[in-house]
Amino acid sequence: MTGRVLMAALHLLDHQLVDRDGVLVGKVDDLELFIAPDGSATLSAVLSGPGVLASRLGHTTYGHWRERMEAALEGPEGRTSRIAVPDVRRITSRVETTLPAPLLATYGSERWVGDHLIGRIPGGRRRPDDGPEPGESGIGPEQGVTAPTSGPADPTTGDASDRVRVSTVLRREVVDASGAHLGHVLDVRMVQDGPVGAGFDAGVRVDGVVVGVGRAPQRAGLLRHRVHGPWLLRWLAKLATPHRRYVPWGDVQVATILRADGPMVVDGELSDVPGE
Amino acid sequence: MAEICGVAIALSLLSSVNYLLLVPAAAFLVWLVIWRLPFEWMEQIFGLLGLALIVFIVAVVKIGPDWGQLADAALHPAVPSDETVWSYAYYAIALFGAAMTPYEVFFFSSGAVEEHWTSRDLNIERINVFVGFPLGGLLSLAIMTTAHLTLGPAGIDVEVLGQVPLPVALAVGKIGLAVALIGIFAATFGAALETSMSAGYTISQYFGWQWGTFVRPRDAGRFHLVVLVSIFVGALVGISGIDPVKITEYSIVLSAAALPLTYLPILIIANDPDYMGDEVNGRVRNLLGSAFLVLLVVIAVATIPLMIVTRAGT
Repeated sequence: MTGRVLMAALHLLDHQLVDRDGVLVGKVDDLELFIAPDGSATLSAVLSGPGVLASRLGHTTYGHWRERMEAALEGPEGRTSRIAVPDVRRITSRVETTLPAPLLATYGSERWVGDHLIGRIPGGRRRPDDGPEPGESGIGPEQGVTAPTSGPADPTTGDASDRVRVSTVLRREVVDASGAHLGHVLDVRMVQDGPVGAGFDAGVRVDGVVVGVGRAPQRAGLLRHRVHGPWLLRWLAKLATPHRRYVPWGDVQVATILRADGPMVVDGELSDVPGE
Repeated sequence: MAEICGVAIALSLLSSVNYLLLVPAAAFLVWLVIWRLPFEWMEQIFGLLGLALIVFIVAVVKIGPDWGQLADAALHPAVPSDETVWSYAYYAIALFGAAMTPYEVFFFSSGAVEEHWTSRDLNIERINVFVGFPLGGLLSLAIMTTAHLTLGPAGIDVEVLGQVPLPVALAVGKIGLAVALIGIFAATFGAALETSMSAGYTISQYFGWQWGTFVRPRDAGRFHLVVLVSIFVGALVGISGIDPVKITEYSIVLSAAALPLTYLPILIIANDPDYMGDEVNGRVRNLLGSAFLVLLVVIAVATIPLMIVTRAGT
């Protein structure tokens, strides 16, 4: 049995992040991959928070602006949430974690706005169809949870030498061993082995990368076999991405990914993209 | 903004106070309803009150026009010599934009989550669409027809919202006028609720914030803040005295131009088994969907040139 396929950009990046109580707590802004000494890669953490997104968007004006704006909103302690894979409960169209909202980065501004602005307006602390307004001691998600000392909000871990952010892979130019240009990384294909629904004990391994030109059609997911239509859009998507190929992770020279920049070098033959 | 002005105008028709003075009150009322009224109530109260607009159909029947002549004029439109086909094309786009503005997509999809819809609710919603859209169209036609039948012969051109219910007063009398005003109030108020909540929905969902009226406002603080700010800004622009009808016209035309951006992702998701499971679009729906997408793209491309050529329909 082949496991469940997760495409990094299509299925995970920018999807909704949900805390253990169902509270919406921001988006999946980046993924952290762990590279083992033998070169194999697994998904090690989901990253969320203003610091993550700004670095993913690249050093553009907008990225810097978002970083400054959100850093100002969230305060220094909550810039980045690192949700290690064991803390991920389930991945559907959204990513559910077993952590409570206050441990997650984008919750800082929510709490501030709730406490200082909206919570002060009469009626701001109860639902429209609820009974009388509870006092200050009302049950809130913030009860009994203190700010983390390490763990989830630890921005340094992502920069360790055996870890790489999927966003840095997704931007890369790809060349073959002789240096010939093959295109850019369009998406990273990951496979969750083992039975679906068994939690994340089975682990999510990186299977390979899709290489070519034309990012949008790839990331709209239109080219997969499972998607049957509309033919007009599938035809346009094929037209826009003529030479897409697949590189199994074993053919990627992993050292070239761990370097800060420069193209990613791949060996061996390129194959057809699985499932398309 | 225009919707808040609409509420203020409806209130001013009831109270004879200048609508600009009523804009802050209207804005506060809109906010209060979002703040306190459960979502289902909002929808039902303003939906039902909006049915009061049926009085316009009653008015058409009471006036008892020459139906044959009316149908003939509607089916064989003649462009007046001082106007071009292009300005009619421009207004066609405006009508199109008014019928399916992007904010409605966000409002109804978020509303489905607010009301915990399941697949069982789908049929009711289908009926809603298949009955609601034609009814809305019929009401618009009735409003135009009453104006055409009574104000046209008198040489009055409808310039402001305040003139719209006048034919009803002529045809059905004072009670009819009151009912029409209630209908206009409900319709504009409902639209004001939809647009300001849509602002909260779209911005919150883009950033992944908690949203909705199904949690305590304090737990969706950023959502309520966006709603509050958008109502406040709308009220400020309203007070500035800019013609709300012109603003509406420009915004619906521009939203028609932006429609492919809303529509394309929905068409793609409707075909993605990761989201839809077994309920992905079949061939017929995709054929209709693709044809509609092509139409939307043509409209989007044509909008701006038409706006320039016709100097925005003047």
